[in-house]
Amino acid sequence: MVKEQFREADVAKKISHVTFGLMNADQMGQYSQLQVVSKNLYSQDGNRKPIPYGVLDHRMGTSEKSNDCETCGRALADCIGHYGFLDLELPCFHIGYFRTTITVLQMICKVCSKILLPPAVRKTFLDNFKRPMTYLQRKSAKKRVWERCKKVSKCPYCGATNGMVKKCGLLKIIHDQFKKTGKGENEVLTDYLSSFEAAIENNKEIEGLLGKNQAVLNPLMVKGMFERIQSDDIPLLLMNSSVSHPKDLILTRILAPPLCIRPSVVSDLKSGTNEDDVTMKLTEIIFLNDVIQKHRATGAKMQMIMEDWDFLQLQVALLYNSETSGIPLHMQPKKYTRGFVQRLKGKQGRFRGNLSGKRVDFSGRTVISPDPNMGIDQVAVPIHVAKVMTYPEKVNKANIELMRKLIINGCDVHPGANFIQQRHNNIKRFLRYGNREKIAKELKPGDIVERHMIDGDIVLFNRQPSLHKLSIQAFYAKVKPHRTFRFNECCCNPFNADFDGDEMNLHLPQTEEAKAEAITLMGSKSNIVTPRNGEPLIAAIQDFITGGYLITQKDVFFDRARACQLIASMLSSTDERVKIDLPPPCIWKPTKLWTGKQIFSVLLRPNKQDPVKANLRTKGKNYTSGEDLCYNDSFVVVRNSELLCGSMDKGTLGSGSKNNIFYVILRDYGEVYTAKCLARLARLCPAFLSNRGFSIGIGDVTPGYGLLKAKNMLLQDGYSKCDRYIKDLEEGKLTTQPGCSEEETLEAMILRELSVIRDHAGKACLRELHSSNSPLTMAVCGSKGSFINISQMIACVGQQAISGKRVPNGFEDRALPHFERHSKDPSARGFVQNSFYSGLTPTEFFFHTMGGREGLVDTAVKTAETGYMQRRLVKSLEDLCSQYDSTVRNSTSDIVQFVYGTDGLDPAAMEGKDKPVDFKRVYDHIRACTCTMTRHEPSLQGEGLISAVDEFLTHSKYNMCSEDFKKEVRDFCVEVGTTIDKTRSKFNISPDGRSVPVLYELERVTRTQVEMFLDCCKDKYMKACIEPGTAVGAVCAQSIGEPGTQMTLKTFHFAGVASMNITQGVPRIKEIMNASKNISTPIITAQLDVQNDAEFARVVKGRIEKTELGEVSEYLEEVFLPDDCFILVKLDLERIRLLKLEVNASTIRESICATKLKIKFNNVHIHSTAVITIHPKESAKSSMYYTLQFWKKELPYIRIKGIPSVTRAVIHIDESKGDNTYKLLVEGDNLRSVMATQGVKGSHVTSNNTIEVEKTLGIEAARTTIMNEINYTMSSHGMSIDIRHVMLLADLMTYKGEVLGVTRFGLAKMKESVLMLASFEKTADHLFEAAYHGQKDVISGVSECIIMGIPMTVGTGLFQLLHKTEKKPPTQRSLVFDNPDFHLQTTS
Amino acid sequence: MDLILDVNTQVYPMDLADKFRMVIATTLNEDGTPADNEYNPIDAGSSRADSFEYVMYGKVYRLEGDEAGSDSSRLAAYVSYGGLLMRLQGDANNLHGFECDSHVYLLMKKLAF
Repeated sequence: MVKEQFREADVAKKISHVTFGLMNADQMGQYSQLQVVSKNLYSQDGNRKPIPYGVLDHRMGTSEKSNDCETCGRALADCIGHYGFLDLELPCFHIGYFRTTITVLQMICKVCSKILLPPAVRKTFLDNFKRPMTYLQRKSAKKRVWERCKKVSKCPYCGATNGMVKKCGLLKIIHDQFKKTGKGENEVLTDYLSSFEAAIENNKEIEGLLGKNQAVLNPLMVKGMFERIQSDDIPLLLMNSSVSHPKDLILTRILAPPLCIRPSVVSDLKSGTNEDDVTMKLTEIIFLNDVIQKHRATGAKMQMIMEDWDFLQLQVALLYNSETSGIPLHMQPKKYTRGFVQRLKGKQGRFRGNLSGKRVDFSGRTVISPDPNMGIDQVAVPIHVAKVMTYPEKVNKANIELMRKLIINGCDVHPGANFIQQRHNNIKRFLRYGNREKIAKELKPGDIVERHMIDGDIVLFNRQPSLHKLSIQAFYAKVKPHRTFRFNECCCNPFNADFDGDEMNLHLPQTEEAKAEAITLMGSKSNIVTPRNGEPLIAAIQDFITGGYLITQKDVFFDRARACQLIASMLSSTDERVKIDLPPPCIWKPTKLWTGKQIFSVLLRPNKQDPVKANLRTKGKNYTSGEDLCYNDSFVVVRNSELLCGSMDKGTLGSGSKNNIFYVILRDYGEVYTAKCLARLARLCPAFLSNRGFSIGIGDVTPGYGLLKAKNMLLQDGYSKCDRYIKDLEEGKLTTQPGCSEEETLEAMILRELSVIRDHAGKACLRELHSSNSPLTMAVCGSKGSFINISQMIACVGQQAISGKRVPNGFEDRALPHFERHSKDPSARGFVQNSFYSGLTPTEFFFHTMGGREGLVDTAVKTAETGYMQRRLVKSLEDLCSQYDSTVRNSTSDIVQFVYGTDGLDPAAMEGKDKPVDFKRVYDHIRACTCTMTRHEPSLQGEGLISAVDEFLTHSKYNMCSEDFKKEVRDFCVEVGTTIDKTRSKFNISPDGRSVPVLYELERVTRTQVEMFLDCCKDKYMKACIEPGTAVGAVCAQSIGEPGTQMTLKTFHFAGVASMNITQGVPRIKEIMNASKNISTPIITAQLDVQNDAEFARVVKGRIEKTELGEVSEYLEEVFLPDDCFILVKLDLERIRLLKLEVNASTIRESICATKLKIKFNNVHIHSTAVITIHPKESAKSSMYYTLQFWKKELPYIRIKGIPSVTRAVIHIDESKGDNTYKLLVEGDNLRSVMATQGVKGSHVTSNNTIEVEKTLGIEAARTTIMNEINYTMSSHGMSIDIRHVMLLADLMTYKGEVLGVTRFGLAKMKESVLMLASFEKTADHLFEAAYHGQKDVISGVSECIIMGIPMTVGTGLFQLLHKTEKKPPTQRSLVFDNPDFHLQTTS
Repeated sequence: MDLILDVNTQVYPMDLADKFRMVIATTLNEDGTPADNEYNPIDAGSSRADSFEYVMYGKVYRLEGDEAGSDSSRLAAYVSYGGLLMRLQGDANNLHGFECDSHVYLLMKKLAF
């Protein structure tokens, strides 16, 4: 009696695709139940009965519980609603298709309604359109036809003149056929004008108006034109003739939607009902219909009917889209209404609010709190919650007794049940009432009991914002008293949760399949590492780190009682009964004492039967030197799960590091042991800490004498330096930094000086404070707070910066009125020299609030910005999925990558930096844990090792590994071999084993160990291969989007050269993702042909940087002679020489002639190397004098050298490699010219502008640039992201052959699906366009599948069962008559 | 021979210029039978520890060629007594018998002048 397997609902009917189209009037009629004619809603007899044939006629469904639908007879909950229709008295434009209507009009002849294409062109287009086209191709084809048609002004078929068709005001189209076009007489115009001759004679006023002559195309005319479009022309309009015709673009009939989507609500406050906006609009339209009808019947003035018609059009438009712009003031609706478009679009709209995200049952939400006694895969669920959230359990032989008990317990006693659904009658029965004993007795296998949540149930636990897949994880429920969800603090990180009042959600999956899938794929144990970069996310935090740090200090000793007590304290739940092997005490005499490190080792491996032999050798946070003998005891060595030296800290216990001891256990021994170890740590640390005591008092933040002295020294030093700079500036001695003014230089220098004071004070704190100081302990071990925080509390709050600068002026020439004007003092510009302990002065306090406010504004702005970025990323990447053929494809099977990340490996499984195996660590691990068991084997020599490796690697089991990987393994082994050989030769160790035995311990490795090492590497490689079906796209989007939320919005960041800023952080990521054409800080980095020559660099700089004539001339003057006048330019040859500019008089002459000043070559004379004269010529337009004046003004600014788009070039000196190497940083665009500049190494020029690179170097270069830029931006914020994610994003942006941004424009070029695009942005526009084209949407992508409620084809939905059922032909039973036994014996 | 040794000076105070005798043994049993490396709280019988003042139990975890020393045959043995470290540097012959992952006892006794 297992639960039935999940099957897609109703296999007989499956949605294969959705076709969008236009509905014509006949179809509307057929679709409807009735024609709506009455403008009144209710009959006036007082009992609120909807008027028949009114907008609320109950034949269109029902909106009240008391009345059933009159068409299908079903009640409110079951009736799906029925349509009605109403006929418009006069046709109207459809607001959604208004633009399209215009384009169609522009494409057809207004007389004969043929497409305005010459027959030859028409034929080629038609032939082209015969082949199947994708949606994108159709869209661009339509544009092509339209562009071609716009060129035709005379119909090739009827010869009629076609003018421009354009929109004119609200819902008005004009046809401007009488416009004068170019030269020659417009025949139509002259004919037309001549027809007015008689009229003009009688009425002179007409003559003036004749010039402004345009024909208004009203809906009636347009409808006529569209109706005449022949069906063989429709493909040229890129419409789907099977579902739509252009004439349907004009409305003659409107569907009245069912009542259930526009319910009328009986109002409590006032008498009567509240009607929906749609209902009201429909009645208004009917009313206008009646008015027009009446006017027509009574023969009212044409003007009045036209006015009514306009108003009718407006109302129809408002019904569809109430946010129509351009409504004339007198027609504007009084209050805001919601049109159909408004119902669909936006976050709360139908698409995003109801179709892409749905409300769920069996979920709960409450406040969270910590509980170290929970395992890392457990969540404590309050009993109140457990009694409401139920699981439908099918009764079988095994659980029938339990189920009986649950039924008897009923709803109100905890392990109970709320409902029962008996198999034979399928009725759900509530267990609060009725005879539960009797029901329990009658319980049969196959019945379904909706039982309460019990211990061990699999639940999904989630915290918003759900930025990555780790924000929702599966836990095992544990039902507990009280009212909060409780879980182990180690699990805070993936949720980004804290316990200051956060609430979280809990969901209970309702089928066995869902449970199984949830715990294997989403289980918190399976998600200890983040797929972003493979670092552990579930790890010790805060107090656990502090506790781990303190217990592993060198001076922590316990006697036997205390040691055993601590060990006992870490055992509970799953390892309550675990055997413990107490290690022998490390100090035997004078008293037996155990160290904290030994206790920690017990935590890792409680007994000798435990298989966990973790090995780790890494630098800690405060590592100094000398490896094991580090002064701070911060070199951690764990060998075979024994902590041998070093104290644990953030790096070895906390998240975000692959040197984490739990990470090592996870990679080598799996998640179960890791979870147990973490749970033990979570219990040990609080037990130890609460016994030891760890608290903060005022004494901890009171500075001592030494610290105060150090601080004063620092302050004095800094202040005096600042004063000196200020003085230098006043005396004009300050040497400016390249590209900065004196003021800017001063600011930069002072800011740098002041901001280091706080850091130095932090260091002084570390030096001066006692090691028992609690804040210091926390900062040292990395559990919470930094040295800056300590420094702010105890020593000095430091400089307050606002947008990277010192506090700006809030008053006239000063920041606050407490200071002198123009004061540049540290204290006048926001330097806080007090600490929080000593207290801030009023001005300091105010400066501090300014800084604080900036931070708050920053976070507020950032959340909105990154949220939108995340949404865009996910929408564009959601359907990318790795396939069984190792490619990465989107839902339309376009290949984005041939092999995921070029090696087909899972980022979550990377142990090294973007590599699946950290060979060194694995090698050491294997050697350590097999040390005793291979004691008898001889240790290998270098060559022996390599030959063994080569031998093993040829084995067939390594065939699964890629060649690259095998080569990497071999390279590593060769490296090890050389080290062994080096040691052997150094110590003169004979290879035959005759030296002192201890010498063979050096670099010891045996044959078995080599084999095991290779096996281990292979296993790790195999495990790291990406599984087919992995939603690599979604993971990529989350991995890039989620760290974005943690980035501070600090825009600017110094890059190498002080004066050169480049945009960083969220704005930069946004720029890259948007594929912006103009980025805010384009920089080209150019290597030079000669790298170590400063002179050369300056010459090249001169070639690139823009130089103006004024910069290199001593003077420009106008000279008036009796017979001549000219401008004389005296060049400053010395300056030209100094700047290494490659200009001389003749090149300058050429530059002058090339400008827009239109100076003729002959008019520029070179008199000497330094003197040029320019002679004006008198022309009709201006006199010589004015020309001269004009030139004199313009000439200094003409460019004589350099690339125009470059604003600045800076020589960058790289001193890192000892000798100075020079390169150029060029601010500005035009990569092509920079590359082509002589002296620049063209092959080594990079730009940070993706589009620029694409234009110059092509799409592959652009892809590399995207990758590099994202990587650079992320890493400069300290975020590491696996290269594979960045690669996938870059590939997605470039796989179409052009750089497409992750924006709505780029997305529209990447995706075919209308539903997907509609659920992203511009909902209505996409839908209307799709309807026009008659687009077919095969439901394949993630968004579409969610909208249609179909399982999607990623992850576990990727594989399908291809099963060929072999039908046996029905065997025919032999008939009785065929049996000869029954035959009557006939005697013959 | 060079020695670096962490000593719990709280239970066994040591001063500069103290002279002491130090023995490193693989077992505490008087008869030299190998130790079982299990902790037995009910300790019975005499052991080598009786004649010493300070005894530690630890593990040899690392044997290494001396990086800095130019003379070729100096080795370094690292022993961790539950986190209290010892580095014994010396000629290979002096470190005879040291094996990785073997447990050792360190016995110490101050000498009178």
